[in-house]
Amino acid sequence: MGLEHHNHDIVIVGGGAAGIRAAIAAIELEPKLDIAIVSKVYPMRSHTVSAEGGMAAVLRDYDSFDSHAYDTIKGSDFLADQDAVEFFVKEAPREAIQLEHWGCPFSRDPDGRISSRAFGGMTVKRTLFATDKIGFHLLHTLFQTSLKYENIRRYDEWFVTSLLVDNGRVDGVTAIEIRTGELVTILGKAVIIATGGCGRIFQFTTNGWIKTGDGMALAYRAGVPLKDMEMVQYHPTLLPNTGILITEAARGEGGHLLNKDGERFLKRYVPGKMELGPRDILSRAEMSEIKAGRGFDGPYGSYVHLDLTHLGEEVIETKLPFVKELADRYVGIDPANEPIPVRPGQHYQMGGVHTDIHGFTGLPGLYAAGEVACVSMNGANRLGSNSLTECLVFGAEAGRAAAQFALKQKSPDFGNPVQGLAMSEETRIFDQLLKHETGERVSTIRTDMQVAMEKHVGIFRDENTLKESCREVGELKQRLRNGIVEDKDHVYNTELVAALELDFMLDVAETIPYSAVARQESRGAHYRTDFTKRDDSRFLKHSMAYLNRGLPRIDYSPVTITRWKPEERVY
Amino acid sequence: MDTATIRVTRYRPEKGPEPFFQEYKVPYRNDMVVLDALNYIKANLDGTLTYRWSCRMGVCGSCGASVDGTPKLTCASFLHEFKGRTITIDPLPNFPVVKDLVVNMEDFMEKLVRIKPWIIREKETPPEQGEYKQSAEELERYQQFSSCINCMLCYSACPIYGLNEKFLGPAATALAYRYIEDSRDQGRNVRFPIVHEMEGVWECTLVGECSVVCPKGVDPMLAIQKTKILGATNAIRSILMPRGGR
Amino acid sequence: MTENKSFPELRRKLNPGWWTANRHYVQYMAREWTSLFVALFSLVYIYGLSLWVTGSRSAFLNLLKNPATIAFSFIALVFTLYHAVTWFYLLGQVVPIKIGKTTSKPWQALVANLILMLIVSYLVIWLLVLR
Repeated sequence: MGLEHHNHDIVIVGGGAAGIRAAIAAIELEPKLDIAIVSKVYPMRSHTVSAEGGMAAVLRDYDSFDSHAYDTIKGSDFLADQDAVEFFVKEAPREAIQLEHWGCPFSRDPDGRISSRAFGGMTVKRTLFATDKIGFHLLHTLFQTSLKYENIRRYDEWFVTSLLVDNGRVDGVTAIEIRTGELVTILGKAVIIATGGCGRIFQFTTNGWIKTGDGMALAYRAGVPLKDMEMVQYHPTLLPNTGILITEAARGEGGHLLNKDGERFLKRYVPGKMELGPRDILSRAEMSEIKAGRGFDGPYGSYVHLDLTHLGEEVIETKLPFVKELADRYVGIDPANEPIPVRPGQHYQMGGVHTDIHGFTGLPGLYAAGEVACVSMNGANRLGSNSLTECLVFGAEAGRAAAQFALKQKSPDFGNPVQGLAMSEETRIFDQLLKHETGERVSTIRTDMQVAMEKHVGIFRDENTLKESCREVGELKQRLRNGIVEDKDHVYNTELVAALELDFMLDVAETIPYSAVARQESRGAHYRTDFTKRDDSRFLKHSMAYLNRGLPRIDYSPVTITRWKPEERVY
Repeated sequence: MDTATIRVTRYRPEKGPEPFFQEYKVPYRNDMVVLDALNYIKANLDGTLTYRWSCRMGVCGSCGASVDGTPKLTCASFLHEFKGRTITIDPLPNFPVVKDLVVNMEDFMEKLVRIKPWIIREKETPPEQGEYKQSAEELERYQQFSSCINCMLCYSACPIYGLNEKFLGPAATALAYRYIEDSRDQGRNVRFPIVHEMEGVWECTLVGECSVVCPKGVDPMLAIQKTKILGATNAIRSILMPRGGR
Repeated sequence: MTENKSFPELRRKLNPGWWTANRHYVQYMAREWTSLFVALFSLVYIYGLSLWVTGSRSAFLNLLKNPATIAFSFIALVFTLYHAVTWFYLLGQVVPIKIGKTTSKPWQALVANLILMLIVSYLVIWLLVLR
């Protein structure tokens, strides 16, 4: 049986903000390029859509590149590569205005210019917003704009299962057309990974179902290191039980965080910024309050209060309508009258596929951008509203870099060894994984992974819990090898996709505690109760997790410091 | 323990050409949404049950299904909203069914592209020159229609679309109207011929169910009527002033 | 999404009783079908007027006094009123009027148009009968 194969100049895996932006950047550089976007969901479903607060860019005279850069670098606890940050802040304004030109319905000031709001860790108002649904509007604007270009072809609901690497170069991907269950080879002169983060590794996350770290695993298995994987962002305000995100913009518009005693407890943790402090500090503060018995108890765990009652109905209706809708629907609360119950939970992955400023991973032909990548721009903690801009800036840059590379390449061959690689993928998935007749359900193993990660790789970590986690993930990987896929259909087999996603998730999950246990300090979102101080002399460097005989091997690479010497991080 | 019965209309093309019912018992909590019930079934009772979902917060548009006969987002519909403890779930009407609750949405995707949902301008100014200014009033003229999450509940609710697949339909027209009314867009002449075709807005006979089921308050029926009015006034204008007038 | 010919998709036809499925659909059908009675009544009345205009006023009056005509007119009146009320409400939904920050509600359009209808009806009756 010959495997069907298609040929394109650039293959983009993932159809969210970064992926679509990369496609548009590439086609604008060279309109004759043939670009494919391969996404396991229709692009409008990409998780970009759920972002709420805003996107940061320096647009006003009261702001400056240095200010945005310094805020980001300090926010990152000095682990960010400062050349990447400088590039980012300088590109951000053009990306924001370009998005506006493409039709994004930004909220406006009386003078007709794009409005901006205050956000965590930002010293001035530079977060551009569209009520509180920026991610939705940004994604739909980008997606609809991409429809202009005939040479951007889409593979909607195709699941990429592996990267084809031949002779040290990436030649394309193998992907399952979910609709028919057929494995197809999609060849490309360059491949851009833009598959987003891996939040579904955890039990309590803002992330949607599709955030399973697919691209991280693809790159990792191809030999690219995953950088700073221990840097997991816990967002301070999730609704208990569902984990639905309540945007930082609620605090940006003046909301308060209160403990059981009605106290704005952040004055004891971040007196300088209070509710607009960086997310890592706020999440730890909330957990500390809860541990000290000053939290509320609920059927789904302890929580604190996010109080918007003093903002007034007008502000909530015009600036935070989605927050009101979510609070009303999922908790039965009108935020104008009652405080919202919130607790911290996983939200974003600072770590990811190692890339340089141009999105290049080091493996010829392979690029990455967006949450999946780690440039590193966010270091050990990301400031809110930087990641949408990050998707645009580095998505565009990766698109241009991949285009320039592709223009100089010949099309890859579908002969050996590429065809051989594709055939063994076919065997791995359909003859081995799908054919098991007995075994443990995928859903059980997945739930166990989520519970284990939540418990042992959380906001407060120590050597014992991290080592336990390393062991646990190894066990889970073994269990999956003997797991069963109940659905044996070819057509739209979501169980098979779930099994492949879990396979990806476990590889990615393993890199987190391994990286974390090796980093014997606390920096940004990585907080260890056995090493509570930041240690620049030993750990001012990036963790690099390489796949080595089935396990992560941790190495290090230097942080690029340009103009801002690391200092004590106080707010 | 409190339970509910979920009755799903299933279709598995590899098992046979006919759809069939299957009933499952799930634990019932009054803060459960329909999606929670589906996820419980898939994780614990029957891994073959197939449906789409992602964000679980009503913004990605994946999870549309017909629940007790009404098109709904399963992630935004609570079990307690429905009468009794037996809830029937069917795939969204008016679309071909691929498997179980997954429908083929290619017709909608084609219509989405057809109305040219991007800013059309004679001249673009480079981003370095700053944003196109837009007042709050100008934003309000189209903002509501830009909230469509492409969930297609409106197409499922529309009997006109059910009878005639060629009808352009609510969401596509609302999106076309969103661009027509955006002060930054100059593409009326391009879009008018598309929406004012016979099977464009004129097929609509004001059933209005699209706006009733829309989970985001887009009000596509209003968009269609406003587009009809634009079409009518445009036609009159082109008769009275064939050469000039904008 | 290419349909795999060996595993076909399920195509469901809209069943002829679709409009019975919910209250809104029934109301829609009622609104549409009551317009038929508006048309029929107009035809009957035009016929009657044509009798009067061509000289036989008594034939016209006999037509009006006919119990069948009276029964039909009564039914037509009820349906026409129903049609008018639903159409006025619909007008309010599809042509909202904005004054300052407030937008009109459909019931306001209904009430305004009903009042207008009463005024016009009175004027017609006054012109033809009372004067």
